[in-house]
Amino acid sequence: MNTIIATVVGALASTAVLVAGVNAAQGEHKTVSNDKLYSYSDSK
Amino acid sequence: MRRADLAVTAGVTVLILGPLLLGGGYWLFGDMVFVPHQPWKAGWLGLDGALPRAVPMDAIVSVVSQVVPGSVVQRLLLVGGFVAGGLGVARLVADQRWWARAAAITLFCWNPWVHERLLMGQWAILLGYLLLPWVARAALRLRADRSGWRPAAVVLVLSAVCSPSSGVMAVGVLAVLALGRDAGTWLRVAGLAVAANLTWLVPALTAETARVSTDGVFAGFAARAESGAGTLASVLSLGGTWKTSVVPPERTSALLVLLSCLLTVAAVAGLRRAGPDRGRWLALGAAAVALALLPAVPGGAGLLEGVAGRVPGLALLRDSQRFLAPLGLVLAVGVAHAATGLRDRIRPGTQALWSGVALLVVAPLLLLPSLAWGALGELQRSSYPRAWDDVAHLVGDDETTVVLPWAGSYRGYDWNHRRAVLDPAPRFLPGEVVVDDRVRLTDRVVPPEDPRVIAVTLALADDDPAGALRAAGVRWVLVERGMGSIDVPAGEIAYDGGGLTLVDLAAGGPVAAEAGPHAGTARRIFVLVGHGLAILLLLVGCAGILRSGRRASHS
Repeated sequence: MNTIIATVVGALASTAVLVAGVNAAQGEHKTVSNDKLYSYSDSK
Repeated sequence: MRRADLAVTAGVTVLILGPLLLGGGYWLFGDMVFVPHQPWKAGWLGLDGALPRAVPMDAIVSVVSQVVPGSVVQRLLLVGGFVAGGLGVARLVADQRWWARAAAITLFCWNPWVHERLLMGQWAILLGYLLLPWVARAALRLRADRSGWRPAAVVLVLSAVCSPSSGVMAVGVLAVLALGRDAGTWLRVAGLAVAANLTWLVPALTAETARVSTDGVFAGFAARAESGAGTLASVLSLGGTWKTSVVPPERTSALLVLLSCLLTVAAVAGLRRAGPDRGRWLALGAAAVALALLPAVPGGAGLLEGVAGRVPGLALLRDSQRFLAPLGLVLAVGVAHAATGLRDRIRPGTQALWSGVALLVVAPLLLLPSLAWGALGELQRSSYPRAWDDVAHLVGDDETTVVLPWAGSYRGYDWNHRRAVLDPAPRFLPGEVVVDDRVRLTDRVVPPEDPRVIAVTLALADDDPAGALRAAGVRWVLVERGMGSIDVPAGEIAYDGGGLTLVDLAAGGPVAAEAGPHAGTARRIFVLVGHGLAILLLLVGCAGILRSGRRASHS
């Protein structure tokens, strides 16, 4: 039973780390261009 | 206070705010604007006729920043908020073991709602959220002891100070958790709710010169899907903001949003162990989800828009996703019970369930690494160029300044890493400062709420903008450079440097005496009485808590 539990928990944790880590690492700093600055939902 | 709770809370706080704490300067982005010394203005108390968006928080920041630099005030508020939130939610589940309380702290302080509101710069709304555990504690105490209204009074006033929506949310949490069949408690809660929120209610109800636009705003600000998993999955996992540019990159993964929903399911399942209050917690969470989703469901935005035309104050719901905040509290309580439930299932041969308990504690961090270390270093500190101080010294307390470019109120300064931030001029400069307050969404422009904005827009379109501005009572034009070409009205240049140009229109002719709207005497009295009653409620509540604390320590 311990093996099954450890496998499920490990799979969940590693999936979260992998997917979140890869996506977070790909996120890039977006500067504010003049044409988009005043469009609030596009600016950061 | 338990050391484990303090350690976990401090760890989470440092992990989120670390870059801000390591040096000088400010975090300036979105609506988060702090200045070295915010001059006092009647508008900070809602006495200027404008809508009370940051009343009375601006007044408090203004007073405190006369003594403590604004950069320190910013750190104190943010750190204090997270510490209060973490310790508060731990006390809410104080009967649980330390690891269960740790799970509650991480989920409450580290989730997509916190990330998105922080990156939008909505620090005051974030503070209101971080006060919710204390509201819940006060509510449970009030239900247990009908005479125990003082803690509820204190937390309701503090929540209302943060923002109108925080005040409303606090009342909602208090009502769901405290009210029963006893009519006396209903009356008491109603009285406290009204009195605590007078600080913004009176200015809002008596504002005659400004209006909140509801034209298309409910659809524009509706909760939306961050990933292919859909809007419901986003909202159930505490995300789904309308402002797509602050969505953390990992939240665009449907798989990750669904994994986050698994955490929600675990927390909701944990609520079954929350004793007789479980129904109330579930109701609170369900109400928050329903409110957040209302403008996003088919016909919801249209319905709200139609009703908002007749019911004043409903425009408060335009960014309905912010009202998802109580769900964070509910899930935090639930996940603590879920961790305990998992622990209770551990028998010989299932010791590996401890890894499940550990996963519940760290899952919020694993699912949202972007919140770590100032959004992974994206939130960088900035310092105002000296020009801002120089300009502020040239403008008088009773003078009016118009800020250009006249195209929205968000700016991208080179010295602030080109990150969009609400124009600091109204808080940096003394006197009346008028900025174009139209909010430009992707597909629409939310009309201005301030009639002065309409007057200045017309003046700038005049053949003689300088003369028209003088007639509108404007003496100064502050031009912020580096954001496109700007037509500057004719006048004498009083200052030029550091990205700022200050133009004195008075050199070209007399400036009309009256610029902006001013509240009448009766309105000022009403507003001041409202503030006075709220302060009185706060003081009486604090005195009562101190007295009962002393009694408890003597017995």
